[in-house]
Amino acid sequence: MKTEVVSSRTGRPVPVVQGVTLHSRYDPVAEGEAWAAAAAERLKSSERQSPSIVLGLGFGYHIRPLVRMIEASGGGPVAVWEPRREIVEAARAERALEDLSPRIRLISGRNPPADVLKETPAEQVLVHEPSSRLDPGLYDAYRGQFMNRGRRFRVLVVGPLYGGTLEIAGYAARALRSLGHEAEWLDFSTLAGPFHSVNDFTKDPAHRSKLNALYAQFCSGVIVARALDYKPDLVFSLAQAPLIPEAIDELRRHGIPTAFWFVEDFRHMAYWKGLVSRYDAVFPFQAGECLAEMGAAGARNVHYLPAAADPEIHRPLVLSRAEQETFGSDVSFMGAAYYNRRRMLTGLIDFDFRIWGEGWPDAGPLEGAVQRNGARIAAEDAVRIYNATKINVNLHSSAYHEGVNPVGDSVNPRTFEIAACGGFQLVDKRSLLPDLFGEDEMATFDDLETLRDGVRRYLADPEARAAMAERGRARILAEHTYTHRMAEMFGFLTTRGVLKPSAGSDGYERVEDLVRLAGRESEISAYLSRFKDRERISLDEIVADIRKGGGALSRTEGLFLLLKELGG
Amino acid sequence: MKEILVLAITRMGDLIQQTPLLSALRARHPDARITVLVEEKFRDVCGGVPFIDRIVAWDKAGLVREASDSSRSLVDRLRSIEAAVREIGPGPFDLIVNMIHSQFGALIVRLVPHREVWGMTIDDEGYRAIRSPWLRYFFTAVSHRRLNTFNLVDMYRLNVPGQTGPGRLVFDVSDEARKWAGEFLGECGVRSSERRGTSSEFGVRSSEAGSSRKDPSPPHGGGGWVRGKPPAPLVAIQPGASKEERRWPPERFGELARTLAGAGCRVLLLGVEGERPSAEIVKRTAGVDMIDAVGKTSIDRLGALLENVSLLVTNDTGTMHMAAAVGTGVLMLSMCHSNPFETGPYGEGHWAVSPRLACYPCEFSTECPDRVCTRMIPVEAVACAAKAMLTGAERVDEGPVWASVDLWRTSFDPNGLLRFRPLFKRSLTAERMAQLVYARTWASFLFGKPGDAAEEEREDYLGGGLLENVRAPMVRPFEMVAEKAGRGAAAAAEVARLAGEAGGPGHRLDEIESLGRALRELDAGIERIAETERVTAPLVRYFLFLKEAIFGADVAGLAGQTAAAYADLERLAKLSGTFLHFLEDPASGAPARQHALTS
Repeated sequence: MKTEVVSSRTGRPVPVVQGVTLHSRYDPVAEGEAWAAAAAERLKSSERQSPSIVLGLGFGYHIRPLVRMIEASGGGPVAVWEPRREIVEAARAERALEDLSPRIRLISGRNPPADVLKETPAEQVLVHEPSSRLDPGLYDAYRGQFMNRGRRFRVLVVGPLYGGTLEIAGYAARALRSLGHEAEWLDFSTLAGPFHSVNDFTKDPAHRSKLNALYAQFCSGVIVARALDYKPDLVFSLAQAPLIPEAIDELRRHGIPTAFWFVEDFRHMAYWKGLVSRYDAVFPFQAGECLAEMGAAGARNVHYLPAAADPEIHRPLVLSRAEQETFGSDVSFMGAAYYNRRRMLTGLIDFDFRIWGEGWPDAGPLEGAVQRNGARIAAEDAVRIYNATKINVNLHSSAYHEGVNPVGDSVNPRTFEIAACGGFQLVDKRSLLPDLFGEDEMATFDDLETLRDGVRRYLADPEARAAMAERGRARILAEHTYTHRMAEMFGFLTTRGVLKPSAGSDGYERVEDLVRLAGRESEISAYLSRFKDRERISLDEIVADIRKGGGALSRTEGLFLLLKELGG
Repeated sequence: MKEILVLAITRMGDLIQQTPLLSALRARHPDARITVLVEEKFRDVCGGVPFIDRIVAWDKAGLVREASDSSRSLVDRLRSIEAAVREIGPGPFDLIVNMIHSQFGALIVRLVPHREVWGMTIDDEGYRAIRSPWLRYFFTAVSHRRLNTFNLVDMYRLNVPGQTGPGRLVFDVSDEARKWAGEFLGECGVRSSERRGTSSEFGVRSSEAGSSRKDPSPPHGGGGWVRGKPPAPLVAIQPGASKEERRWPPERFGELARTLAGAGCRVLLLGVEGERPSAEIVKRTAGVDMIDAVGKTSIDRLGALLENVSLLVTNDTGTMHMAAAVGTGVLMLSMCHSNPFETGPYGEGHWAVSPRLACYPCEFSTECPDRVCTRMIPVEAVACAAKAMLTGAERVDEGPVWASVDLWRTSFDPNGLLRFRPLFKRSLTAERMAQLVYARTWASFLFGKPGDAAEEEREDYLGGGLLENVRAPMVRPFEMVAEKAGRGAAAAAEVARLAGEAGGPGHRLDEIESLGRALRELDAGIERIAETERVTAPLVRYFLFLKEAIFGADVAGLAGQTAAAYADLERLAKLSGTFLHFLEDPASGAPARQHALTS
């Protein structure tokens, strides 16, 4: 997206992106001064030495006076987040940041760096509103991650009975736990067998459809029952989860918010239309038109959330010779036999080419390439294949294109998984790909011709493959894990008020914050100081400490016990 | 004593049950300022209690909300709690009477400066301790309720020393409420002649303490009740109860209302608005004209309405205690874990019906899959008892209608303690025997007098060969406890002596440690007896409370207190052993030995 630069009446350069003018066209300097003064006023009530972060760079008119004010009052460091590369580039081209660069830390990406998140109090996150209008969801998600510091949500993750998103439910649950949340994965794969067996009882499509609907109703009943028992702060379901609209409504009646990660192409699947208005928040893995269509279908809070990888599963492996022989080849494709893949991939049969995945006919031109008779490949074997293959071809699915979908936007999970494994891949171009990977991190193709060129080129250049794969993996670890996505999602849910204000507060709070709130000189603060060796503490831990401790019970200890007794 | 604090964050009924305690405190300390901590929603009860100088009302639900509002910082929430505690006042209070029988109450005690406490508290080391013998007994009774016969009101009020006669529940109805009740009943067509006058009250004849009621005249003091002829007595029914399991089915209340109306009574339906659904069932089943006061009464107005009725038929409810407080006769329907002995209406001449069922009364923790006891009380029995009460009868004729229930009548024993005597002669079961023994044991131990009324009790139960059958198995268990407790008292006294010798406890450390080991073994043995010979369990529970309340840092002092606890247990066990003989079978001609107190 190009950044247009216009001149203000005072002769200053002002960026305009997608029709949004990021600073005053009249006097951007005066406007920036006013913004900074208001922001500095807010910061006064916070901890002076703590870092601050400004969300939205623009051309820095608002940042320059703010940095000056903070420096003058002996305040902490200032970071500036700008998610749009083109704005940073335009600002640099206009030399708008020259004096600022040494005094601020400029950051990008969908998630705050760990140290910034840890050090910056939520009240010191300052939003440059004109910038936030470009990506309101992303700004909300980013800000919300600071608000969620120390909060521990309880999440019920609901996956499908079977299919590609089954594993994603497990990855998401694990990512939530790694963020410190409590997550339970309601794994419906155990109920897949009975679901499929329905087809053995009748061949009548109408009867099958009716029975499948009843089965979904039953599974929804299970979800509601479990949710009422588990009392989660959120029920988080993945695409294809057997959660019917009535069950979502019932969860809402019980005050349990719901979110839906739709990791499927909205153009290929229509069932989302009857669902998205029921959820409190919907996260498609497509942007642009998809967000607008879902909004039109009644979705209240929609935010683009790309797919990701789980580095504990999708990781480089040292393979044995036998594994290398079983899973390795010069070129391979992993995935289901969609129409465009069947049409295009025959063009690779002159290479040492293997095809893994469901639905492939081991006959015709692909005879010999199809592995395991077109059976489903388990996730751990897929990881071995990505590791063992020199060139992993990744062609996004389409039910009607002859090969590459020229207007494809979403980036499939496999893109991230292969990269996380340190595998090399050639992926078809997608409009959302450049936001996720640089050209030096991911090799692409447009059609069969460029695919064959790429295969030939990279087969001949193992070093280039290795270097590209390494950069791709580094990008995954830095920005594209499920942990990043879950943090982003919960940031969004918090800012949008989907999660209740009280949700997620598992009682853990930063000891430092508590001591500060108690007032440095107070009896409570003196008592809490004994926990300074811990970063965070909960009432339960304080009570446990009181109960095991010796000596006379102090008044403060008595108050903590009474607080606990009253349900704290 | 200048400042007294009573912690009474309890329900309405409990508050009314505590009024004799407040009255006794006021009588003993006429110049003290009595502060009561209550729950905001029951503050109005205090308006009718004249002994209170200052009310601190906590919105407990609000405090719970604030405490659990995890969107607020821990420090903020702690400050809210601190502010609530500060409302109670800086203290120090000369006395805190803690009627909140949980950790919650104990923590409040801990946080409010005081000199003396009755009830549960937390000592310096953070351990629970129960101070005051009667409240220690209360906690004992909670754990072993089937062997308790004392009413809560007595267990509460007797913490104040020096009381001789029975207590009296108090609730002063305001003039405004009386006016409202008069108008309300008038609008409903109840003539003043149909209302009970306040001149003759039910169950509050404290001047008659100790004597059972012989006067057969109607308790409502009206001109008598003649079937089908005016004035028709006004009978109130309270079909609700805070706990569902304590509710007699509303359909049965409806049938009862129909029966009473058929016999010429006016029926007044009571309850809060939340009880409307069951009230509607009552009305539908009754199919007769009733006065519906459901949802129309404040606490004060409820008292005023009850002043006007001749009888209240009720589950175990706050309304029941209110009726007893304003002098209205009560017919209590007791089910599940509701037990008239514990929480029945306080005062003379009230009646209670309870199911005759092996599992009744159940423990508070019991989760019953089929509350058969709620269906065991027949409408005919209740109607029969109600009619008998309205005519001032003291007995009813035995008959098949009583086959599944027991019927009790309240009176005061010679100590002024409330008791429930059966209205039918029943076989003496082991459990009932143990209850009667314990009533004497605890009264002797805590009150100094057994409050004996053996002659009457011999009238109440069938004796014969049965007596010896139930008595004999109880003899040995009490002897075993007494023997071990005696050894414990001696060993602990020896520790106290050794520790008090010149040179301090360190001087004779080996001997003290050896005695300590012996005491631990004795304790284990005593607790084993309580497990295997359950009849002794209340004594052992009380002993454990005594030991919990031992405090101090000095070995000799601690050992002295321990020796006293063992001595108390020994005395209790010997008292029980002696009282086993109080109901000697009259046919055998053996002299009763119930007065031979052992101490």
